[in-house]
Amino acid sequence: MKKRLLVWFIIFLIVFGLAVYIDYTAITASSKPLETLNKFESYIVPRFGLDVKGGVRFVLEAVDTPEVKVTPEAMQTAISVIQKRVNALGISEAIVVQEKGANWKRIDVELPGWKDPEKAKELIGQTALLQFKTEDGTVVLTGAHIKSATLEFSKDPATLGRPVIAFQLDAEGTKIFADVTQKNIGKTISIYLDNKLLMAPVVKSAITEGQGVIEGNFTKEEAANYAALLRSGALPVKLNFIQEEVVGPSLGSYTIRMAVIGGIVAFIVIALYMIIFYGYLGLLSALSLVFYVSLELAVLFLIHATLSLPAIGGAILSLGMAVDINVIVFERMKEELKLGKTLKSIINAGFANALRTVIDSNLTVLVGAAILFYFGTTVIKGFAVTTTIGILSGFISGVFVTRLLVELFLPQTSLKKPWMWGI
Amino acid sequence: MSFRDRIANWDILGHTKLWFSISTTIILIGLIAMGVNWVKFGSPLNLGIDFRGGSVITLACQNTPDSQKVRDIVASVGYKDAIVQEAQGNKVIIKINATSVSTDDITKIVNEVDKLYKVNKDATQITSIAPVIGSELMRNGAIALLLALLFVLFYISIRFEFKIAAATVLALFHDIIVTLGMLALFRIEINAPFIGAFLAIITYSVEDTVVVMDRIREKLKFKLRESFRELVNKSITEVWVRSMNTSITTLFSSLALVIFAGTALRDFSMTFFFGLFSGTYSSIYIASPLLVLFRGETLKEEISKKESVVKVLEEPKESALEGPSQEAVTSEVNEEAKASKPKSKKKRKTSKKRK
Repeated sequence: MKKRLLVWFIIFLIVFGLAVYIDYTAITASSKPLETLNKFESYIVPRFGLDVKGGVRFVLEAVDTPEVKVTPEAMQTAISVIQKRVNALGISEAIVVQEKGANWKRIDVELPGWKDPEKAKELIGQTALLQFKTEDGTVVLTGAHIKSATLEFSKDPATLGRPVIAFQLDAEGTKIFADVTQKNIGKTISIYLDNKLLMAPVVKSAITEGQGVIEGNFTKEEAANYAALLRSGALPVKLNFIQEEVVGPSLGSYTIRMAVIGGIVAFIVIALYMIIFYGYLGLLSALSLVFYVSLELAVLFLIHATLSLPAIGGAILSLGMAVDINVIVFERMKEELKLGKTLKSIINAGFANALRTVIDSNLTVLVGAAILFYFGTTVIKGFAVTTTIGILSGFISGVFVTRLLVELFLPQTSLKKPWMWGI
Repeated sequence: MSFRDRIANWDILGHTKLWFSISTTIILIGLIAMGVNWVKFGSPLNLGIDFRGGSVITLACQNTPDSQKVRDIVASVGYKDAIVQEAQGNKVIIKINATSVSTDDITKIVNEVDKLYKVNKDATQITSIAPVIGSELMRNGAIALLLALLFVLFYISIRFEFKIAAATVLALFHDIIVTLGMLALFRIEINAPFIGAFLAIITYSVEDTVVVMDRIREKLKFKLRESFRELVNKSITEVWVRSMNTSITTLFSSLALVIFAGTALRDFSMTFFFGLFSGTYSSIYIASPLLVLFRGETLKEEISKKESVVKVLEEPKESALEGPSQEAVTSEVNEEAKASKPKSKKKRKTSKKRK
């Protein structure tokens, strides 16, 4: 009997130690610059929501147009295109993800630390469909064949020094372009970007090397942006901006500091309350609350949960919920104690009954969280995830860890010491 | 008399009318607040942009901004109904509700304010949400909550019985209505995280109610001499301290959030705070009296069962099937017969656990 407890205790210590180690590493890693992190550190470093770290966030929704319907494949392409464009902005931690569940047609784009929403919007939202059309209006070549595009300055004497986009086609594109230019010598080939005419030069000779220059009265910045757009390819579907958020970076750091203080205060008050009301038992529950906090944080770090403000708020609230199991168990144990039972049957009765109550009420939350996860927006999904993790770690610490601690450290003599029960 | 003794002797069910009228009053206050809001502001609840769509622009300025001048700027860009508020730290908050605001317009507003008061770009906060998304979130939130309630009804019916489930769900409705009423009364702005807060409220209320109902069920198995009403009252008073303590600990963490966290979390935790209060109250003072109303005070069902057991025991052939209880003394027969079943069940449960 004692041996079994000892084995469990060792398992508990190992899990506890691991959780604390993960928490410590993750929290220290969060204040170090990203480049200096080792593999493990960068894996578990906390992912804060935009409302905490500041930056720009967009939600785009793909809509069906008469020409194109939204398909899962198109969404995949759109995401990789946006990813490339965001990389072109030079943001290292940018996040581009498709929303799960009912909102699969939506893409979340987060640009931490970015302050210029207009530029980001211009770069991300444009379809950037480049088309080469012959005089009769047939599309002969599209931007899909562009291998590279760069900002250059015109060497043409007429437009000398003006910003232009120089492009290089891929092998297939080169062949098509050579063919088309050969057939259209003396005629114009017009170049359209998103159905806007950029230029309509007259073909003088066949172009066989697949290189060209697009002029369009660009400013230097426009030309650079277009070049970046052409490099990353066109969006396969029409995307609308449905949500936009800009958060100054100094706001978040203040809020998180206050939230952390709030969490610590809540912890101390709850632990004190438990000790006042349940004496030595309360002390044991405060210990298992420490375990709860470290386990919950470690899991959140491990699964890369986004720690947005509501999620952090939910986690702090769940501190109060986590000790509920202990309250239910301890009240029951006090009742059994009054009936004059043995220590073993007191412990058994307390936990057996609590288990049922806890499962009944927790199952409701888990189902609710699953529903929220399916229907909710990103922020609500984050809340659903932290709630679920909170419930599960609360269950483990309240039902198993507290029981283990009580069985190990509540001595037989406690039956005659009311202070141990807070009576 | 100690506090705990006083609770133990409290005739809670005897004051059912009082508890119901307290709730009715609070709900009425909330409904009146909603009505007043509707007349005054055009909507019963103070819905934020997450639900209505629109933009909120918060600008921290170096010089103290004058909200009237900012209002003029916003109106000149084309948003006459915008709400402009000054806030601590030379901040100005511009709210444009229920319309899509184009990025160009936002830039224009920010630049104009910047000219007058020098905006600190590091502390700027802008949120824009399309109105379509707002109404969709509202619908999805309502669906999610409704599904959660249905699940509670279904699950409690299975674990306990339908009447208990009905009392629980009615108490949940009570909590939701009370909380919404308080939100209307204090004109707290409601945004997306509130869906989460409501889920947490439902959970809490269910937990509290399950604790009470569990105790009632347990007592039903063993004691049949007292009336159902006495039994319920005893159950409530026995778990009273427990219910209070589970709520108080959570109250601490929501209070900590109210005090320390920023406005976004403050509104969220205030909501939770109201819901928690209501949930604790309803599990004791609403759900249990409702259950007594639903089942009747005298435990007809149980008494008829009791009689059938007695009848069965009087006929020797049938009673042989009943097992060990046949040798019991007649006065204790019903007790024994009833008790033997749950006891064996309990044994099975504990043996399972030992594995």
